Amino acid sequence: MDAPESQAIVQAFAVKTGVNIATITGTASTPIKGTVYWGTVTGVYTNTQYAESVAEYQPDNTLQYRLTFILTNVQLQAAQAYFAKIYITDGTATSELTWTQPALNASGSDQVFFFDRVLSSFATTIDIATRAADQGWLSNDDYVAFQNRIAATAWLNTVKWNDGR
Amino acid sequence: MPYPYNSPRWEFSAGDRTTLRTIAVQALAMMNGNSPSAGTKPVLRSDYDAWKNLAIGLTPTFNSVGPWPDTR
Repeated sequence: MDAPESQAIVQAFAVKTGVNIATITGTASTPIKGTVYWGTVTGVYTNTQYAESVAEYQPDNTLQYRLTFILTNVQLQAAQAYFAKIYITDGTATSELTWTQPALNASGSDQVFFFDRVLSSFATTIDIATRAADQGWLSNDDYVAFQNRIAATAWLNTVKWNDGR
Repeated sequence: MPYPYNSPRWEFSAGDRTTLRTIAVQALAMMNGNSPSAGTKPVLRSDYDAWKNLAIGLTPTFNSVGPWPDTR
């Protein structure tokens, strides 16, 4: 998508990261509408969101129009770089914005709760691990099952984050 | 039925066998909702992650030679 760069607002937009959200916001002197395109690769935007500005009085009593996009579900286990570009309905666009969303910051004091259906995986793990410790070896099928049952516990649980997430 | 004498198998060192017992003991605690480090509820993420890492840290040797004596 080629669009002339919007010089008036290109410096106005800022990105603020939060818990699993990123807020892109900026002001203009006139009402504006626009669509943000964003993704994890520069120049490749896989998500969109449309918004219209709202009037906002400034401390000096002047009137500005604020355009805000709230992007959700952007936080991953590892820090992730994002790239975005805002296209205004007047045919202009911002230059590419970029920011790094911080990682989930897992804490050791987070609590893990296992679903009931994972209990059989623990039982199988205990059985195989005990047998392996006793006899010193496992068949390939048993060793694969051992690894798979441990893996199953990782996707059959829910975490209560210690920061309230 | 004995494991076939000529089938390949994964063999564990003495250190791995100790780790395997730890894996079993801690799995039993978490199966009951208890955190291995404290023995009380709930399961802490740090304990659970450490438990998973025990399994990752195993270094068995794949032995496809055989035959082996039936030790059971």
